[in-house]
Amino acid sequence: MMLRVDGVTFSYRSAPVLDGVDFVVQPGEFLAVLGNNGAGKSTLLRCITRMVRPRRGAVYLGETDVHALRANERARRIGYVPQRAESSHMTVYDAVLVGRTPHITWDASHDDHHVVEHVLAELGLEDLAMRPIDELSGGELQKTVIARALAQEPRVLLLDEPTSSLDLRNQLDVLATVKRVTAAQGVAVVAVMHDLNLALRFADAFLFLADGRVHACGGPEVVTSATVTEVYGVPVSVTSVGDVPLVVPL
Amino acid sequence: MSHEGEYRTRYAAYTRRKVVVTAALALAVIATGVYAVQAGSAGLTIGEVVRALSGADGGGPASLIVWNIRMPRVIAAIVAGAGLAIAGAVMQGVLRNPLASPFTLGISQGAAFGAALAIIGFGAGMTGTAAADAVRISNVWSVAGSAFAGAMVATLAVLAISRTRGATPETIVLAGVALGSLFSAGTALMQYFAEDTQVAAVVFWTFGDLGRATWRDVGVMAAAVAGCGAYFLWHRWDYNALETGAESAHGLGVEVERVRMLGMFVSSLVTAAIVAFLGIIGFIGLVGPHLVRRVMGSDHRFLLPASAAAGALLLLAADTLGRTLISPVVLPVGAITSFLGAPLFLYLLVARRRSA
Repeated sequence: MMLRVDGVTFSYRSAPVLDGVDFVVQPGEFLAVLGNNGAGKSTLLRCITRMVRPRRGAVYLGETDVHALRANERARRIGYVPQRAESSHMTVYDAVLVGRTPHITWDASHDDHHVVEHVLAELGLEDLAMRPIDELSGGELQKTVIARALAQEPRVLLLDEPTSSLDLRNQLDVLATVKRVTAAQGVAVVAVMHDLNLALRFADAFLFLADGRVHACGGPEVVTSATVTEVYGVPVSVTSVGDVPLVVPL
Repeated sequence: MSHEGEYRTRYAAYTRRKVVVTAALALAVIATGVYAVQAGSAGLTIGEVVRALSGADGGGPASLIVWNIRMPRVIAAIVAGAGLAIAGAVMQGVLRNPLASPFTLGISQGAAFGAALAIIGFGAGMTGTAAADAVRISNVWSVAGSAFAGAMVATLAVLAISRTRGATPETIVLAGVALGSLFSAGTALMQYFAEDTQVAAVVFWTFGDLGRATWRDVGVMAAAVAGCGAYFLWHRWDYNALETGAESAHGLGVEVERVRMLGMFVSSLVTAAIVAFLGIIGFIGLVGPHLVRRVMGSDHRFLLPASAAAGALLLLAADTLGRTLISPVVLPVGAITSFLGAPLFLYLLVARRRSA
């Protein structure tokens, strides 16, 4: 199902944070949300998952108004991975099983356990299944948190800076895994990202936010020197190494 | 996929172990209960106790002691221990604060103040003259209701403070200590102005005692603990989701504020029901869940029942110790649990500092 964000406007007290943001993400598509700190990227994700209530505008999944849904109905459609992954003393298996919360009424069913096993296999976490999550490395914890969101069987996955605390190898590994799994299942991904080069490598579409407004939105063709320079206020050159596009600050 | 099959077996064994630990705790409660009924100055044998419990001795003197004196006390310990422990487990979960419990947040003290106000201020009971009989409740519902009101005042204060920016778990517990002192001072003052003023009554409220529980009191407490326990179990997946953090829990479809408020509200209810009849019994709500978390983790599916069993066992053991240590003198159980709980509380504080 297509995710459509329609004129979302939000402000904290008097200061506007988002101003009439429109965009569309197709099933299986990976959209990178880009922009400076304070441009409203995280707030945009919070508006989509209705952690905060937009002043105006709406979010549709197919024909359904997401904000009219009950909380657990929404959670069956939209998975959200916040910036900070909180650790606790539970096994990876149990941490992913918690992702079934919106589907569980009294207790986890056979199907719920089946979904967890499937997600663990897809993300290559089987060998860690019985490990307590407070003993995981940063990359392993991030994969577990993403596995939890995928266990919700969402149609949309919202990721807030999914790789900001990871080393290079884990950045590539986590994003490649997300890309592979979501593309295969037709899950739309909206990921707030800071690393333009990682975004160029993995995303299909790009949304540049500046001062709460959409500055540019589209495929790789919108990532031009001019756009990036305007949005970030830093002169850059967009080039490529082999097939890989590259943004280089000048 | 051999390793996949392997972790499935290991997970099954892992959950089975938690069930076994819980069952072992429950058995220990029963065994300690039988011992507690037997122990004491009447010099009953286990055989006499079993015959009295099964009704085989046809209402003899052993039967009278067992059913009228020992059993209400033992069942009160089990019910109150279980109730305080599940309240503590839920408070720790919804506030994401390992130091939270009815006692450390000042909620028990609030409930005691409410109960004292109903008894002394509004005449819902009378203060006696004998230490063992310090306070007798005549209107059980107004006392319980007033205890709940006192507990809610403390709870709302704690919730308000926990919402302020930068409120760490330590800040909230400090606030709880302040609230507790305030309520305790109020209770002490009130008793000072009461008609049958006596120090014993003050001590009585400050350090809870299981000796005055009647079957009626036990019944009211049991109903409260069972009802609140069922509510907590129904929401165990929400509490598990909250273990992953408030934002993540929102993403999992949990209405975080609602679950948090109602969790604290119901915890206060169960605390008030216990404190109204028994006085303040500290640290069971802190120690019980912590011991269980150490052994089996924070999964509320298992944490709640096991904490209930651990809390019941701790309170029952503490009370039996208090009765037998320097028999025939009976030490207040609240003093015993504080000796047990205060060191653990200090350890948790220091351990958190070190990891932070």
